[in-house]
Amino acid sequence: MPTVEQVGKLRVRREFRRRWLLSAPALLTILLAAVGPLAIVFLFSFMEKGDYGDVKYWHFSTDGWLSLIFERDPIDDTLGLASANVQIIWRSIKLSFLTTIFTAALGFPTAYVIATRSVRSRNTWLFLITIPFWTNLLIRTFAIQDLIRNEGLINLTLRKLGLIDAPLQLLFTDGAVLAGLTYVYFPLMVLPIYASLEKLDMRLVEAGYDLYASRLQVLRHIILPHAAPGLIAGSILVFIPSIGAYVTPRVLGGGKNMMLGNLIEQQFGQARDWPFGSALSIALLVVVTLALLVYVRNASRGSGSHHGR
Amino acid sequence: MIAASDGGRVGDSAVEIRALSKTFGVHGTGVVALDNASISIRANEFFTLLGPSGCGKTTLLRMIAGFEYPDAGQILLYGEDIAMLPPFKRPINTVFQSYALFPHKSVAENVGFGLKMQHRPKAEIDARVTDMLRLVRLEELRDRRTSQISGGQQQRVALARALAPSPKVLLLDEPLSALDYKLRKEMQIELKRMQHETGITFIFVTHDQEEALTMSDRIAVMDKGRVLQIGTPREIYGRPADRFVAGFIGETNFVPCEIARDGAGRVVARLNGGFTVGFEDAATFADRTTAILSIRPEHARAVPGLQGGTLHATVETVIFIGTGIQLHTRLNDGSSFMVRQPDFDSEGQFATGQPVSIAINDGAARLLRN
Repeated sequence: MPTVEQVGKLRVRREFRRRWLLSAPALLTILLAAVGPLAIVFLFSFMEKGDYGDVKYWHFSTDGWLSLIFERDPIDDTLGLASANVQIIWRSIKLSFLTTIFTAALGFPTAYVIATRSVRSRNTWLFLITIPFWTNLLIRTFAIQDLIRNEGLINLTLRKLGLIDAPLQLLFTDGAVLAGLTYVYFPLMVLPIYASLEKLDMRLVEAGYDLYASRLQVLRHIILPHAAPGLIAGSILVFIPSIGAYVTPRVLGGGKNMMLGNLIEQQFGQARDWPFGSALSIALLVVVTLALLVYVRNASRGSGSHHGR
Repeated sequence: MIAASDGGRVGDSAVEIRALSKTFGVHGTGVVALDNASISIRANEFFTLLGPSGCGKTTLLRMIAGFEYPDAGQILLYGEDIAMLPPFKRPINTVFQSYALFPHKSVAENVGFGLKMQHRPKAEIDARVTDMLRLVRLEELRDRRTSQISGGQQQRVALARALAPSPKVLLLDEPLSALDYKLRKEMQIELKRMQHETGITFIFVTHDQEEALTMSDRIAVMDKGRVLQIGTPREIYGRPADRFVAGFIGETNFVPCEIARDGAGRVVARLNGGFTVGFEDAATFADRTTAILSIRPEHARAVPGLQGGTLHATVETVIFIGTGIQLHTRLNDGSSFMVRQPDFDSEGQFATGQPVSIAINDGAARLLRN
């Protein structure tokens, strides 16, 4: 007969084993589909590039990483600043930052309006917000292209109205990419903010008005602190995919207004520089992770207390 | 009327509700929340709006606060019509039923919120917060989060927060309903003390008639959007204006009767069984019409056996209530009648099925229209 203690130990061990068995499929998937490839990309970034793509295995080289900011002069082999790459990196950061700001500026009022409707019409509005997801992103992006191209609906209308003589160059500009990204990621900002605001007790808003807070003061001291978790989540959901966006800058920005996603794609495609592409990918990952850490830490501290004005 | 202490002219009311109406829903087809209500509330008064849920008391309070706007009528605050002003422009503060304290803010930040929104200097806010927390006896909780304090303490913070900006009128929306019985009794006394100490006009909303009777200087009884009676607790209890008020405030027996005139031309209510009650002040009741007598259980007295000149009834239940006994009886006409009386030596005197005679104290019955 086993003792009570032994039975207890056995149960703990069995419980432990069951937990691992149940989570094994998920752990295995993460290991094989995320950690594994990432490790390969990391290793590739430190190898010499192959002549027709691929890499020269186990030939250590830092060229991939140097190419992030520098370029080797083909004639005298000296290092110079790769202004094109730096420009693309800067544009990516700038555009995804602006996209986050724009989606937040548009998404917050939208989420607030939805959250303050009756429960039934709320669901209708949320349903409408998700409609764009029903169509493929590429098709929607080409639709935008069709709207803003030189012979597109917008230019055509403006010309018919006599407001302009020559078509405005809307397509293949940073503005077009920004508009496209804002459009694409708008729902990802609205939904988390809505989730936060939905839980806002409207009596708190009334209490604010009752205590002499103007509409702006109520927004600032009561509604915004309440929406902060949603704003943080939304910003993360928008910023990360924006900085690595591929389709939108490709279709709306063209060859001149590339972003990081396009640059990375180019290295694995036409440029056949896998180590550089790998280094870019890892760098992007590191930058995003760092930005997130800083942002989340600051944002949660900001919403946790409201001292001072 | 008494003089308003806050700079108002003699004869002014603190709050004057004039013919206020409000309908919710689609124009003309919705629910009538308030129907031509007029109330005059004096300065420094503890005034209670009493009525069952849906009677319009909360709607009226929310209109005084500025959260709802009337369809018609006026709300005068010391003579100035504020009915259409937004809440943040009214020198009136509210204690909410759910307290509505700001989460993630400390007790002190909550109490100081109103003053901060008015851009008062920080030193003044700090001093005022200290004063208010002393008033509600929560000085030691100053830096706590509102989520870390008990329901009773939250209630006090809500009070301190609403009193801090020194409003001309304090509105209280069933503030005690979430507290347990003992705490509620305590807070009733506390509220009276605070009203006395601050000298602010309190408008208190409740559906609890006992609470209204114990706390109020005057009460307005409301039902279905209308104000039925305004008066002191004594007037409301002793001389209810109609059947609803009589039934809603305290317990009472309703006995149907017929109006007649006696030899001296006095109005007499004749009850089933020939028992009569005379009234001096009921000249408006026409002969041979039916009416209702309202008789409080404590104004009736039962004795065993059948005697002349009394109501005859049969005992159904005898309940010991500590301070006395409560007899549930049935009159000969089939209506029920309750008697509450001291328990001197009545032990064993009353039993189910026993016939009793019920006498009514002089002047205690109230004649009401059907």
